[in-house]
Amino acid sequence: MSAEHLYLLTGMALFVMGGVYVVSNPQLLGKILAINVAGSGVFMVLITIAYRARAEYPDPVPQAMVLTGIVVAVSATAVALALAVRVRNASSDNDTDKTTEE
Amino acid sequence: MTGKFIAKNFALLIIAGSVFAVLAWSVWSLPQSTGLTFTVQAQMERSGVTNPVTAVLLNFRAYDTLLEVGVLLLALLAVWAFAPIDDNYDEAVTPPATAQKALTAFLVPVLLVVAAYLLWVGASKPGGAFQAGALLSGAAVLLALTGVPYQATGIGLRLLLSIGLLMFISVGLAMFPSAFLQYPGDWAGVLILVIETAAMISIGVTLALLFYGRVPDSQLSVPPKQDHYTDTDKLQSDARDIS
Repeated sequence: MSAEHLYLLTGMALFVMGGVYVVSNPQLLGKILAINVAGSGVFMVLITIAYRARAEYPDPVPQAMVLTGIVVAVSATAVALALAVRVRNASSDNDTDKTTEE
Repeated sequence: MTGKFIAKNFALLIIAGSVFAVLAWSVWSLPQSTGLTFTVQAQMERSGVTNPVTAVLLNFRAYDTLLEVGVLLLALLAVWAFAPIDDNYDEAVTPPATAQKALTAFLVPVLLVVAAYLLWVGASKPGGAFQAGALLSGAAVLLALTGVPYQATGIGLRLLLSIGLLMFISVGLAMFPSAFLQYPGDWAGVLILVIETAAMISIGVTLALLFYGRVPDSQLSVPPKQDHYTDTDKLQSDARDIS
């Protein structure tokens, strides 16, 4: 098994691990981190595919796509975190309302 | 209870395993092609830069990068829309330690120099606007954590945030009558550097504000609480205070 296969397998394993955590864990922060882990797996596979052909230099198009992907992932993570904070605030407000009603 | 737990995890294991197998099979069955390497190589002379990744990012697929800068700005707008405005945000919870201050004073100039270097070197080696912008935002976050008061607000801040996108679009439109973002060969290198410089500033400021997580001048734009709140809101906040 070459280094290339190791990278591909690791990338896919990261993707699956992140996916499993997202569907099996109720914590929002954990889900957001898990999506980032899964995304890293995708980036790893793409970068390895760029290197596979062993030309003079690796295929620059997948590399550029990964760079774009990283920035979009960061943006999406920031929005998800802001949403998670709002969800937490809203649910704690509801809890307070319940206790005052009782 | 435990039987259900085991069954659930077993089902999850089966699903994860099959997803992994399908992924592995599809990646392994990809043809051993060289992709677009040679297509890019053949056009490199006209791209204005010598680093193929930068050539793809800012010339051959510049549209992608333009939209990516837009996505970053949109994300910031979304975070601002979700940001709470009425809570008491503790600016610096603990005063920064001496070591932290000294480290920040040392690191921030280094980060600025390395950002400028990465921006310049992006034309020929790995680097570019996004890497440089990330370093700039790192410096800004360090300063914020060390309690340096926040300065940029209002229209100046909005200009810093949008200059990357504005510069990108204006350069793209200035190519008229050729196609949008189709640089002439002689000017491509200069235009790419101009776009990257503006993009670096916007990316740095945007990432730093994404970390900050709220509108920095919201106090200026939100009317006083008494006028802003309806009666029910007032009642709810009173109830919160009591409980």
